[in-house]
Amino acid sequence: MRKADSMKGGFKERGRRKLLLASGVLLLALTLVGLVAVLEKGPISIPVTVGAHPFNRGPFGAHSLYSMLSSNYTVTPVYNWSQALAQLANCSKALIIIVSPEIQYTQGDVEAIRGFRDKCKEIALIIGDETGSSNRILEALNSTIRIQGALSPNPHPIVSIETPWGWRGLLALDKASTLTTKGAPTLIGWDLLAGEAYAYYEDMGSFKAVVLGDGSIFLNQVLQSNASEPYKSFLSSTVTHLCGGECTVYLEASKYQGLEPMKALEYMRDPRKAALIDPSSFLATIIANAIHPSTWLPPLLNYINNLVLSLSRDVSLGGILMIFSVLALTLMLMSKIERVPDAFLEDVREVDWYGYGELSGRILAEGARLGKRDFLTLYSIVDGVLKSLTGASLESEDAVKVLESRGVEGAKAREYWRFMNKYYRRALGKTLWPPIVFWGRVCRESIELSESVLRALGVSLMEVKGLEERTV
Amino acid sequence: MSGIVASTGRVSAIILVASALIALDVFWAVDSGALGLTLIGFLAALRVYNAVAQTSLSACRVYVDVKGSVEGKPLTVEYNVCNNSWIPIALVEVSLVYPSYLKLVRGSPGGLTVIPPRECVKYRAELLARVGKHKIGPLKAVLRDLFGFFRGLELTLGDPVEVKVKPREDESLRRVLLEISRSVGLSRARRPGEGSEFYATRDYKPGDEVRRVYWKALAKGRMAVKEFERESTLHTLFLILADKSMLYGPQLSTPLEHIARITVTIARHLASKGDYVGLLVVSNGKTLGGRLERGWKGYRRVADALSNIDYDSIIGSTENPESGISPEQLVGKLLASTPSREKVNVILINTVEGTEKYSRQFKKLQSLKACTLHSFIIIPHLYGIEKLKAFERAVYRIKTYEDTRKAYDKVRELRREGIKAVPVTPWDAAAKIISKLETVRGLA
Repeated sequence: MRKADSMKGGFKERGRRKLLLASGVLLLALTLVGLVAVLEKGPISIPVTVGAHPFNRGPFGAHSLYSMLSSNYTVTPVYNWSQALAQLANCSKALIIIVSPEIQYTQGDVEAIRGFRDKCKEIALIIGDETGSSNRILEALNSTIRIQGALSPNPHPIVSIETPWGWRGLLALDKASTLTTKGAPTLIGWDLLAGEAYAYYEDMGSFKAVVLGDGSIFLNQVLQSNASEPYKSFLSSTVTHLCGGECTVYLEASKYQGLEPMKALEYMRDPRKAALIDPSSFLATIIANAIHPSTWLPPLLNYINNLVLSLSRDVSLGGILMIFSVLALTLMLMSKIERVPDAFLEDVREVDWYGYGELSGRILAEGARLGKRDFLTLYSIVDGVLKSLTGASLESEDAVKVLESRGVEGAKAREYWRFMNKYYRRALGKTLWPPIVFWGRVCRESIELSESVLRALGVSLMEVKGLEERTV
Repeated sequence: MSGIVASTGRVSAIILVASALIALDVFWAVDSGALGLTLIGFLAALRVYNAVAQTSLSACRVYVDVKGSVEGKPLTVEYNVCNNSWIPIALVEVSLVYPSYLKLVRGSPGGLTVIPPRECVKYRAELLARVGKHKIGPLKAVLRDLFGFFRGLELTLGDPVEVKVKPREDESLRRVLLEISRSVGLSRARRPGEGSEFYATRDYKPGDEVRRVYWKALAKGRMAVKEFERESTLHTLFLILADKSMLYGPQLSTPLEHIARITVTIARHLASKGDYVGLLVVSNGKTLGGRLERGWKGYRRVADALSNIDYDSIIGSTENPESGISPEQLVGKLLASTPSREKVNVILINTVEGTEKYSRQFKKLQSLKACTLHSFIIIPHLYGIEKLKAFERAVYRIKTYEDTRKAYDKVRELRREGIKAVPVTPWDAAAKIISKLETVRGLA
């Protein structure tokens, strides 16, 4: 029972090992396939966001704006205006915020933003732009306001803001652009010193727009600074006014350049450019690229190849390495192979429980060795037969007469008697004559002689039915 | 799949060579890597084939047929192994499992074969049938490949078959028995009495029936009557106390086989005379047969009991007689198989060693009134002597003379201890037994 249990345990252990081996090999194979596939696909390109991107946490990013709005509204960063429009459904009120776009709007973008106006009952627009890239949007939405695009000679104008919804205050702008208009929008921001227009509010019923000639007031460096309160307040009151109770905010995220990791790395060397870069996305990009097989696998293979080539040029070192690699490869291949001795099936070994089988076999094969002891045994046998049948001993000379009486020729009987007793006395050590005796030969001769004598007495040494009954 | 096929040492050598070829290619730019990989691929393919073939081999159908049930005749064992799959199974090494005390006389104990798909292969071997019950089979099989790279797990094909072999009746022995018992008809007691066979004439006594008057004698002036020989029925139970010493000797000439032949021949002889005959075999504490039956029925039961002797049980028996059957148990078995009114002649044939071992049982049986024990002790040294040539026989006799004499001395010693046993040689045992029975019949 214990043996069965231990066997069962052994099988379980072996099964578990097999399972581990199979799953391990499968995992390794899948990993290799995956590595090759990823390698084949090329390095990943996660662009490092630059500029007023909603996810740029750098000084020139707009992540603070995004966070601020997200706390009260549903904010959707728009990476593609056409896709955003396609996903739009049941839109009652939408607010589009565009901050300092760096890439020109395409016709597709313009059509999509116009589609927002068509799909939504009400649409509002906040533009903070000093480049003039947003003018196409304003034009498409039939706004009369335009951004000049040329930076104001006054680098940091102090603008007085007075809005119809009641917010008043002074805001310091950065490198801003003045605004123009062919219509009659409400001027809500002007330079205190030069009187130039920097902010308009236009209400066209279902479309409202607030346009500022500077996007810097929406950037992290402003909203995260110690003097951020008026900016936040202005922003908050403007969004509240445009959105009312509830609306969806669409934050521009498609018109900012993405930097390749290596380029971003170059930017990082320059402190001014470094401020443009989102550090978290930069870090993520660096890590992702570092662990990507396309970064390390080809150079690694190349390195190994070069190493092997350089080693192989050195004959002695190459030879040693070859021997080690042969051994390692062989051991690795052999370690998982179960080995058994190549033995033939053991055939049944037939046995004879034959007490004298060995003796019989030896006699049959080569004839047994005969010696002095065997001669004495033979003498004893013949003596026993004579005694049991005739009462005469072979030692006695009477045996000759007895044998004669049983039909043995007289001379032969005497010769036999002499022969047997001569060697009998010699065997017992009673005489030393003959000095040299070959007992084997003597035994063979005595067997032949005895057989003829014993046959005369009716028994035989050589027949199957022999003389045991007479002698023992 | 990996567990059913294992690799041999040759695979290690090939893998070493393949590794060397690959390494040569890598380090010394010798164009040998492809060859190395091909070798490894070849090994892998061969291993997969072996695993598939091993599965097919284990699913093969096996039909077993055993012919022959008479001692001394060939016992033909035939295995048909049928491959039901579409995979050729190559190579299969097979080896027949059979008792080591049986001898293969034709065919090989094992061999190599290929089993084609959807085909059968036949393995046939002939064993020399020995009296008793033997378990033959199954066929052991191991899958190999041509190159000796892989070796499958050892499988057994088919189930073992139990074969019962009846003893051969010795015709020369039968003639001896007929000579001794003088007739083939019903048993006669060699005493005058009721019967149909003429026995002798005697002078008339008053009261003799007139129809018995011997008229030819009366014509010559002598008043005599015919006497008829009394017909008698003997109850004979053969008792074999089988132990290892019974198996010593060359095949077909062991004491057990010799005793079996004597027993079945005498049983047939007694059955033809209408006597009651039975056989009780005691081996390793277990008994076999035992019931006395009249005539041919008794003979058949004796032959059946002999063909049921289990060698394995005898070989597995211990030397300690106490672990076998006790004298009381033996007597109980014996009395259970004998009729209560008739005195049974128990013929016990044993070896010297067996008699020494079962001396207590012998003495107990001798003391029973319900039966008369006739013990015969055979001298085992003389078994097999007939296989030698004349001069070799003489040499063998001289060499074994001391042991033979010692065996006779032991018999004398046993007799002095009170065991009435008669020493017999292989060639006079049957004659002595039947003489004893005829003497008993005459006294009955």
